[in-house]
Amino acid sequence: MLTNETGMRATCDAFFGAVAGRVAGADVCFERSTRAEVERDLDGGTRVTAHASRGGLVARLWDAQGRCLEVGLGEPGPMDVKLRVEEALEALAPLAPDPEFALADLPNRANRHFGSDSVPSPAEQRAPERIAGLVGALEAMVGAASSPAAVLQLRARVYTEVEEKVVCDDRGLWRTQSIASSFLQVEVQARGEATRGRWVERVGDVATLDVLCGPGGEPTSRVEAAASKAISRAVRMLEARTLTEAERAALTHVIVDASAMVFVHEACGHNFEADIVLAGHSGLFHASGAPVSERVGSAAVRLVDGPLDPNDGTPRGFGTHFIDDEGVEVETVVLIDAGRPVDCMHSRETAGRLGRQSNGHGFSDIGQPRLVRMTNTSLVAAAPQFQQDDLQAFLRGIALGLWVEGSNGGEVTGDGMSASVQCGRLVREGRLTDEWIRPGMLTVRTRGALLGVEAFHGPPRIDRLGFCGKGQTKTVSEGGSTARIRLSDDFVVGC
Amino acid sequence: MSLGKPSRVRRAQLVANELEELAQRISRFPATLGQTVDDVEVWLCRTSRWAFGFEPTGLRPSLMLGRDQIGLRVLKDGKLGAASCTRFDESTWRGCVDQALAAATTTAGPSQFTAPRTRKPGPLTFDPDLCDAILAPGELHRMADAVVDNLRHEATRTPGLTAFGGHARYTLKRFVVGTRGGVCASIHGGVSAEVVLNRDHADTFHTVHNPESFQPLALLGVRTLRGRPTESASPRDLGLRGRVPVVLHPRAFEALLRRLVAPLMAGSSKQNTLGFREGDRVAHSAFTLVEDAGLDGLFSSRHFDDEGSPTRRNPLVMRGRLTQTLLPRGPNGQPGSAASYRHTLGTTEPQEVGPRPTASSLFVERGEVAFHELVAGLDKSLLVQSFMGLHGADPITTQFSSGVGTGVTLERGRESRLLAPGAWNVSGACLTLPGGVAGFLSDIVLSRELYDTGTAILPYCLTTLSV
Repeated sequence: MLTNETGMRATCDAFFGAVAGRVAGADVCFERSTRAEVERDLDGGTRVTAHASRGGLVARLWDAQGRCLEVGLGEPGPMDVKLRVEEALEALAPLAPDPEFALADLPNRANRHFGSDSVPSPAEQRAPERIAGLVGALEAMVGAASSPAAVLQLRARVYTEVEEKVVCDDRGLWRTQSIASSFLQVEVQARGEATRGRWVERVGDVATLDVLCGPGGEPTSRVEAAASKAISRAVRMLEARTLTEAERAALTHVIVDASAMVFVHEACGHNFEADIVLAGHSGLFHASGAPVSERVGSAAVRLVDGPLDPNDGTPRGFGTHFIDDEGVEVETVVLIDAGRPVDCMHSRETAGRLGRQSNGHGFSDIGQPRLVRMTNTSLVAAAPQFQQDDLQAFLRGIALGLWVEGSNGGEVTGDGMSASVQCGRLVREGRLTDEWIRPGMLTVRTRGALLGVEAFHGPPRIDRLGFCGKGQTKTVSEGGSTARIRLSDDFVVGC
Repeated sequence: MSLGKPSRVRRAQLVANELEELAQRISRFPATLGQTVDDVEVWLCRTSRWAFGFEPTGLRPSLMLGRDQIGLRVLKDGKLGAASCTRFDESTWRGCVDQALAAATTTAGPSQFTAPRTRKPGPLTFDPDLCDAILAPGELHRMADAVVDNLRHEATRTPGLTAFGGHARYTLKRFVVGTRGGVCASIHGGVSAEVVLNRDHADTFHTVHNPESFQPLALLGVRTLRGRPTESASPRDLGLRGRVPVVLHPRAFEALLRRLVAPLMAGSSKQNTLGFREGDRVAHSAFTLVEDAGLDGLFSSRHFDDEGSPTRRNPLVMRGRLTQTLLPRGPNGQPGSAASYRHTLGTTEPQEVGPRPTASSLFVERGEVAFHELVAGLDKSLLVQSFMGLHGADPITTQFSSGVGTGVTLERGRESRLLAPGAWNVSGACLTLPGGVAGFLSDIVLSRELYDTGTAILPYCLTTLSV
């Protein structure tokens, strides 16, 4: 049972009552979230928002000629919704008919609730108090590590929220989900005599505040480890340098750590979103859905998107949902296997147009139109022979390589992409050195991004949390095993 | 509001009445709280958006009707608490006030706030007779239909044109800020459009005033198509590597200034976060940067900020010297120079944690050289129109490294070939820090032509960057 589910049902009933007999079909996603958030600035100022609630209803209307309109109605009550429906219907009428419009059937229409029956609200978790304690503990850690040679400053953002949603349609569908998520970003800036260093670490999951701190705000081991890493790396960056022109010209490999796998999110992930494919914006697929090339990666490559494997029955992964915003259970989708494109991520609408089944990737930011979105994306070895757990063997044969870690995000334009890295470490003659390189950028021609992948190292980690933009924001995570990539003309390293 | 009717004048009246009603309800709310709080600030942003995506199959419509974002800050015994919601409903606001009050009174720390920062009652700045922010969405629909029809037609007869995309969008925002001291309200509308061809060449259109003619928008597709070079080039093709002359398109120039320069001009004292003091030379003497929310015709211009305070013009850099640091307002209502906004440019959501000092519209003074003279002397260089991911830009050193989203080569003084997607990366630093690498703003030539990006007015900038 959702908080105020009765009120949400009344609004949805009013909506379907208003459109009954006037359209061929309609469905709705009505979402609400409640969040507590604290932000600490570099100058020590702290801002607390004890209660931030957001709500929004997005509706899809379609008629018998295939005119379809997705419209955000704000957070209306039963009376407001009727007025806004009139505006939406007036907007639907002048649209051109679309004979190709189709919605893929819901694989399962059973009405049920997903997620925990009772997710404690931020207030019930005493979130402002606990987060204040957590920020205090982080301040103490950073303060203790500060020295005249490296003056450290802390910036932090912490929130916990509960998100509830209803997906329903004019045929009686009523599926609900409650999910908690918590997030921490620690940024440490180091100031040396003439140089500056900076490092950002993130921790979070689809879980209550317990994933970040204890009842008194004491940091969990994950948070302590992240804060320690941010401190040590910020100090390390004081000594880092940029690549010389000669080094850039001589680089043979780049080694992408799991923490820098926003690279694969941008280079490949977006190009597998079926709405981008259908709009003709994918660099890897034609608008018909046919791949541009039979091979988009080396034989070592396997790319997967979906909920993480919950060994203990607890969902993991910052981008995890049980159902998407069209009510479809989120499936794990293999996008690339052994270098060949296998499948795309679909919403009901894109699946309907391409004659496929939806795999549960239609999401929207609260109250906005649904798009095809990623959840947790990982790049792993397609077969055991490409997995090399011995570091020495993994790096063998690399004359000059750059091991890159961390990322502050990236961007894709279809045929090309860029992903930031927080630092690099040189690999010389197969050995990881202590030569640290300042933050930079991997710029890649999309079609060639994964063709040079030679091997993977270490177990998959999906620790990199992000807020993916696409006109809207969605929580995602990326990762996998550390990948060794041979450089080509398709790859530019700017550090 | 409907797509086709009523007329623009009637729509202006409807929007004016709606804004007045919003302002009235917000102005009445603080009084209903009695003595439970010393004061309360209510901030509202109501957004409506009509958008049409250009796709090979036709238009993809997307509507957002009346989405409310409401931020409340309460003051009690010198402490400030904050909460937010998305429902225009006084009982919901009262719940928010209770939550904010609880957090404010239980938070440790000094009681330093004597008043919320909104205190000047202001007039409604919206005058329906003068309103030209209102557009009948039906007009936009017809125009978007013409653009996409035109593009589809061209796609069948233009060799090499394999994909096109883009959008036309009309956004209407109403801002209201109210306290016990008064209320101020304004309305802002704008049309923007973009056409992207083959995912490697783009052009944009925008206006915040109702144009006399929509012909420039209708011709956007053709203009983009005609201006598109047919060949592309990689650094190897051009033999460019290392430090090379680069012309920054005003859109790219603005992106760098917003990410790396304007935030650094903000500080809590006369010394900003980079350690520069007022009067220090930070750029070439040709560089003058002004933050001015009063610049007409820009989406980012506002008469009052999200705390209800009037905005002002802030010269940040004059002839290469730092002239002013953007100072936030003090907790006791001391005046500051910086305006505070909940929305920062490029984000769709307000900050949950309240308004923060942010640069609004930017202006860079023109140079003395015409664009064609600027590039005439260049044998081989780049015109960077947009960056692809400035996420790696380092705000504490102003160093950046970024892929090039779209751009063209300048060969023998002419725009020649497209920059091959994913093949180009440029890097450098904006400002010269003590002990750091030389910033490109110390070595620039600015064009005489000024370009309106929608949020800034700037010239083209010739400088040297690493490729």
